Amino acid sequence: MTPAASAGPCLRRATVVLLAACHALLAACDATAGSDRGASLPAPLLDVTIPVGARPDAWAMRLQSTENALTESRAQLGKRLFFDSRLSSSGAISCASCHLPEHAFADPHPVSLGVDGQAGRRNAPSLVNLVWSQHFFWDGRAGSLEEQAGQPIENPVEMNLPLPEAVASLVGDPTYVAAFEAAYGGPPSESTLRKSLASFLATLVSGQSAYDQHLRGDDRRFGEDAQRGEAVFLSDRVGCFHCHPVGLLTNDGFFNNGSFEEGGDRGRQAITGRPGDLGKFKVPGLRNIGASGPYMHDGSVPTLTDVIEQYARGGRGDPTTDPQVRPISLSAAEKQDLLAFLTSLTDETFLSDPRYRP
Amino acid sequence: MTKVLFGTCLLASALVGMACGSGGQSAGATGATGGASAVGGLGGDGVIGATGGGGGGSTIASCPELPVARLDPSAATSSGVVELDARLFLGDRPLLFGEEHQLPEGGTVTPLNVRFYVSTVAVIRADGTVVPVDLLAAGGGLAPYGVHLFNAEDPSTFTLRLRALAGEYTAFTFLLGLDVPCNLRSFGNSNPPLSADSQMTWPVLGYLFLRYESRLDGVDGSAPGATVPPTAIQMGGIPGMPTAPQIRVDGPLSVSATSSARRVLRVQVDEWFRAALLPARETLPGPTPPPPGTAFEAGDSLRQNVASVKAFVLSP
Repeated sequence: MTPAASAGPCLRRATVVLLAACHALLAACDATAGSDRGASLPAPLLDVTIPVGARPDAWAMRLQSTENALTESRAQLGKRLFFDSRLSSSGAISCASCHLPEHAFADPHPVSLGVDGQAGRRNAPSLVNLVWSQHFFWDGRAGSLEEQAGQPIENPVEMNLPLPEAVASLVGDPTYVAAFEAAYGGPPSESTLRKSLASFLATLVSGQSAYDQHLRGDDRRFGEDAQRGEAVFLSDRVGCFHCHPVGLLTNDGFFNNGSFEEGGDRGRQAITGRPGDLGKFKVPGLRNIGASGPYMHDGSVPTLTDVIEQYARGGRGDPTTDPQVRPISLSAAEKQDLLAFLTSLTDETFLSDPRYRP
Repeated sequence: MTKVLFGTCLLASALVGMACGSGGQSAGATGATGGASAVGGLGGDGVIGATGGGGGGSTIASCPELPVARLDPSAATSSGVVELDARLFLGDRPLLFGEEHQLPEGGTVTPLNVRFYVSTVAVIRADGTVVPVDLLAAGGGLAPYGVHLFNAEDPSTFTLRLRALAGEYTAFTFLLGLDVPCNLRSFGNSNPPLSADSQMTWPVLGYLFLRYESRLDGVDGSAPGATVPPTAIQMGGIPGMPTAPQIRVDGPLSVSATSSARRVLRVQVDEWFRAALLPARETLPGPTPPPPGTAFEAGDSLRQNVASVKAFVLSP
């Protein structure tokens, strides 16, 4: 008998054993990956491009925070929660239901529909570059991403799920228990639920728009119309920079930009009680503004062209409107150039980033 | 010359200022035109002007986030702290952010945004000796950049903390705004209080030194001699030039090495109005004056006249 002939049965037995082992291994992988059969490791969420003009140390402070240091495991956990509809009383609404990645994590509807189709009263804001903000929600009622993260879950017209119940749901899932253990060294809790969501939100950083490249000295995608529009945007006559200064394009403050009408949403005043805060809302950043319509706190302005027209009119005429918002004479060409500038703030890389998909 | 060129002329003036030198406040500009790109653009590192560039004091290297103490550290045991609580007043009445207030000539004013920078503080002895002072942060360390930002919306900013040599003084002075090096910084590359969320940004270069916005209701300026307060005052300077007004506040000030003192500094906003409505004694450098009737015009008048009115008063 030749060596090959005598090895045949042994080889067959070894092959069977090997295949069984592989089958078991694959089954184990399936069990932990859920529906992601055969998925590769997710790309790191912490790999971001800081937008030009953003404060240099805010990102570093997030990484080094003693309260909730940003790590990949925490951000990935937060991402999973962000897309998980179990965080709603109906089991049908997730954070991503109203904050769509392809819309710069905003909602293309004027107001969002929560559990049982209940309509909110404000437009879901874009969640881009929030790591540089100090005020959250249109009225600034939350002072940190962590404080903000739990409120939509509990809001009766949004996800309508008390946080203790949300936590109970997570505790009942071994994969979440393992993920929380890895990220925070303990089982799911209200605190770590908020912290992990905040960690994911912190990674939503957009810094590769044509405007960013322009600020870096590369105008290949920043045309002459956008350059003219930028000049209009920064002119004293138009004055957009007062609230949307170069860089993050927000001063993170609260202003009445003329969107308030008598009897409408009181905005910041509901939080502070000050008469002068009537109709004030948080100034949003403008990166990806072209993808996050409709606009204003109530989503009442459909397009950017409409936004320009509203500002050109000096707002809606309520006497509480900030004195800096006044009628502006803009030519048709200037309006087009402004639109081109605002469009240059779109970061296609961010909007199509596969890391921001479930 | 149209309004729209005002900002462009500020840029031109800034470049002239930086090229010609600053004189007064520092050892002279170092001609740092640096990375300042087109209107609204930032240099390659977001910083206006190259760091270094000569031995002058007018580069941002002279405005580090952690400033150099003006008091000699060896004087620690012979220095003390004075806290000045800045309070806005309209005449004799407190002026509260976001609240309506009656104006003497009828109507009401509601302050919506009131912010100003304070820097380069000094105390003055009876013999006229000027003694530099350190501005302190709330935690007791040196204030970032040696600058304090008063924000009427944030009570934590109402207190100016000064560390001075112990002794008796008859006045103190400060810049209502930023010195030349700090006004060369870029808000995109700075932390508070010189970051964009200070709301003191200009579109071109440098910072606003004072920002006041309000709403007037029921104000009738038609009567003879009636004056209407400005609804907005936006006062800035020219980067590279010492344009921040120096304010002198007279009044006895005791600094003790063994205990801190607390005084109220009344900020008379009605005097701001008066100064802002006075004619400007000179026009800004460059071919175009601030557009008339605008916050910038009011700011330029304020800048030129505020030192001659009683805009800041030390309460007894």
